[in-house]
Amino acid sequence: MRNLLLGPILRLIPVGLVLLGIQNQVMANHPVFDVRLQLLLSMAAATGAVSSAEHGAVCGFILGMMFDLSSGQPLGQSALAYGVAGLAGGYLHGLSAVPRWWMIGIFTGLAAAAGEAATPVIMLLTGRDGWLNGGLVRIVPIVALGAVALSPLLCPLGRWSMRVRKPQWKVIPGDQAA
Amino acid sequence: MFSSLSRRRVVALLVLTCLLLITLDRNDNPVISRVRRVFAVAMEPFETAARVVSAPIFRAWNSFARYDDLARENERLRDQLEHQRGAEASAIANQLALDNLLALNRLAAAGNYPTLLSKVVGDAPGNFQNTVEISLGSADGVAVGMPVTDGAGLVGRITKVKPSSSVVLLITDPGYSVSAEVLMASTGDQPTLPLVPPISADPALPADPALPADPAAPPDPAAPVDPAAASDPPTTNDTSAATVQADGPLCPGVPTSTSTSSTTTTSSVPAIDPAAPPDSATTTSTTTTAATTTTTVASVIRETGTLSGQTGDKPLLLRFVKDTSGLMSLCVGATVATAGGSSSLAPQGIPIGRITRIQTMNESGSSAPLVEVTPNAKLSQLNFVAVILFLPNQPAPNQGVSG
Repeated sequence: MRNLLLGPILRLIPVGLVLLGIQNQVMANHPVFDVRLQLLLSMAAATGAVSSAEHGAVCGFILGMMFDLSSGQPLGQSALAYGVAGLAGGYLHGLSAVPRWWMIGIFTGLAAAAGEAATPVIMLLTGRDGWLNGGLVRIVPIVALGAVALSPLLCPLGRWSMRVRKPQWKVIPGDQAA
Repeated sequence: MFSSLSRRRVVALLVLTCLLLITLDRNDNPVISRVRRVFAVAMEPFETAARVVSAPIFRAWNSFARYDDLARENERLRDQLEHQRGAEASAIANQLALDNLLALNRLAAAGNYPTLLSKVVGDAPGNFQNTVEISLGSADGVAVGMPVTDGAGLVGRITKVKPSSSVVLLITDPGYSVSAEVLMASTGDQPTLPLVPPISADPALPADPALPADPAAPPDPAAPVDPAAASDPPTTNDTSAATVQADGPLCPGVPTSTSTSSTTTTSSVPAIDPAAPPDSATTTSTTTTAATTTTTVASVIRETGTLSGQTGDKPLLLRFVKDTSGLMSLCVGATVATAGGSSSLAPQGIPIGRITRIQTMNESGSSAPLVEVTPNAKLSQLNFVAVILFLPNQPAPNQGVSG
């Protein structure tokens, strides 16, 4: 538990504050096709896509909590949705032993789409209906494409924030000889 | 890090934590409220830094990419401003007349409450929120629950207050709801009329120095100010300026999308009996169209319901409290305003919008019609708004003044 609290969270919270500032001031005021790209959601998805489902879920939970605290939504609502994104990214990461960079981008986009689509469902479960409508067809793909575009920046950032090391592959001398 | 916890346990722990927090927050836990306030203060420097860094970049980009659009818009706005100056004088006179009439009737109106002007500084960070951020906060006297308007009508209400900024929940959000009333004028020979400015030049009425001396009728200050419509002289109603797509019985006199232009001279003074309740205020109006003059005696019909948002660009939905006979006379184009009342979230008389569609049979099976209302305020282009310093169960500052 000590590692959990003192390890990644110490890095993730300052990174999250910076991303939240950009989300609130840049992404919120400059929508793409009337859809606001979700920086924190993309970060959670990217972290999952480069590490594991657990890391992605924890990262999504913390970033979602920060987003909820900032936006005034019920605390835990975005945390749950972003956790779904991180978890989905981690599961997709597990599909390939060594995912290529472009695969990580696709995983990030798919996981972000899952997280964004989960948001109105969670809102519905918490009693805020009206958002689960046809607008999702436009919102989810744009958010996913935004996450794909941001993944080259967010993947290394997520890996650093969660203290995840890149997998090192070493050639065993015996195998080389064989 | 997670060596001691399996994946399933981590996920279950996070989900349960989220559900617990949502439950606590929905019950207005004071600890969470305090954490939110502290977090808002902690976020201020990061948001300021992001704004300071990004603003010059976006300004430079806009100056490069949107120069032609801005030049055209500037030209159009200059032209509009010239026309607005002409309409301003009559609007002031009309406001004086309205104040006088409200004082006679001892009515509380939105104008009785002090307001604070504010700039819209931000939009909602998420795609599932209809909010804007304004530049006034608790330090300026803004409190949660206060209604917000722009020049055209109701915009929303304050839902979150920080020291130097506030969040406004827009009326289009599904979580927004306010009691509203449809204002129509009923006449003897016609079923309904849209509520038009109280206008008349009845010589039997005592002369009131506050009323406009010019028989030319100024626009109704409670009605939305359409820039295109306001650009015309006060005595001219260009029906092509403000149009309504009729999807239901159309109120007489409401311009449709057919582009026809007519010059109508109208003038009136409402005949108000101070003893009569406001709902039955009788208005004597003289309408002169071309060379024909018709006189009708109209009474204002008020039908009260609950107005709620439907997300995004969709119109608002008005559900009526009671299924009354007056609902049969609803018509497209009628004005919808806040109903007020002791428990209302907004004072009476703030214009909200106009009826654009009437569904006579709704899904719930009730015979009361379901009414769609298009807001007057252009919520996607808000620049400045006014916060009305009104809180529920708070009397109007000049309410109860003997006349």
